[in-house]
Amino acid sequence: MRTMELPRMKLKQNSQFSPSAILPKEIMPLTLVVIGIGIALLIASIGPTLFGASTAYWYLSRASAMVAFVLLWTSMALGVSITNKLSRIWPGAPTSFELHQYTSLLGWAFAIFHVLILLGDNYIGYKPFQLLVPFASTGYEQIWVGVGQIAFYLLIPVTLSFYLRKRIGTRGWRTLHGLSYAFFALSLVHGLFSGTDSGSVWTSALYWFTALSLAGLTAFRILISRQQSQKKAAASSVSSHGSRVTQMNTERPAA
Amino acid sequence: MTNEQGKQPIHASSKPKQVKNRNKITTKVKATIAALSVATTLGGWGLFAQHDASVAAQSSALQDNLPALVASTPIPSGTIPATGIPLVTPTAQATATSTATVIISSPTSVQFTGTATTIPATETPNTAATNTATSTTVPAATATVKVVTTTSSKAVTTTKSSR
Repeated sequence: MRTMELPRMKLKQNSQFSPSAILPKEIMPLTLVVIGIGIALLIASIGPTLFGASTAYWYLSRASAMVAFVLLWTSMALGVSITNKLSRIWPGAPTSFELHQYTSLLGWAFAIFHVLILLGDNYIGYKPFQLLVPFASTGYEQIWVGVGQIAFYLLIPVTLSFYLRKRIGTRGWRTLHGLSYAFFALSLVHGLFSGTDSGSVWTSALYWFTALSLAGLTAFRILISRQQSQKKAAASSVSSHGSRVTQMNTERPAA
Repeated sequence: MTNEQGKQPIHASSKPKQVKNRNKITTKVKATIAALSVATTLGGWGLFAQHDASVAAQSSALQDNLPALVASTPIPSGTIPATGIPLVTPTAQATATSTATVIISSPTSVQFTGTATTIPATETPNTAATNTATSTTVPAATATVKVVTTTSSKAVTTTKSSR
């Protein structure tokens, strides 16, 4: 009977199609990055032949940079709120973690799009190696574009550390995750000094808000971790004192 | 739903339901984030393009209207008063010294020494709007008369008959 039922059950599972059934859950979000690369390359390669010389690539690059920046800030804010336990209030630690991971990957995808779409822009005329090698582009704000390129490369180990946590251990994972602060600082500098819109009010408001909120969340996290360590120290001293008392009681000779 | 030991866990049916609900919500939130991101990118493209187009239109309109603006702008007419202060003040100085020596041979000779000194005429031209120049010349002459008495021995011959 059992051998007859088994194929029927398999058939029932396969009838409900879902992407997670085909791809493992860990690899699934990486498809976002691949999609980002694919779309950017497609637009950059086909676009000029279809629409001719256009400023659309430049506008798309600027817009996607802003979106990537906001997504990566969201990811960082969610990540810090997990450790400082603010996420327990809303939206809950597991949801926060999932969104933290997801926004990080989505932000990475948009960052890739921001870079690769510039291949279609013929005003500066970026070449692939100029986009990939830091400080190789001489057409526009060489230093600050190079800073952005370094920030982009810092993002790779940070994002990949989600999937390497079991292999590299918690300490290695934490160290890699610490790079996200450097990434954020570099991308902020890149945006401030090479961004076309950094002079506008809304952009500077965005930069100030993201930087200050992240600084506040991190400060709160440090405060919480200090309190926790103090509590732990106090608890351990109490327990050691208690064990010493019981030891003394047992060692005391019977009267 | 039983665990490894075969015991029924507390709230066994409610916990997976909660997880399922949470997953559903998270999936929706993720889809919303992705949609918002794409929409913001496309919207940003449109906004940037519109902003640049409006800026370009403004600048081109300004360039087109520039000759008309120049033509319509009234040029102020009038006379500008010329106020000039001459850097070099001309100083006319005339000194005339005339010495006349008159020698009278007999009996005394009177020598006139005349010195005529003309005080420098200072001209102070007022180069104002009217450009009038006034010159004040104050001539002054001084004469010094010197009486020179010379004794000369001259033989004067008088005859009675001639008287």
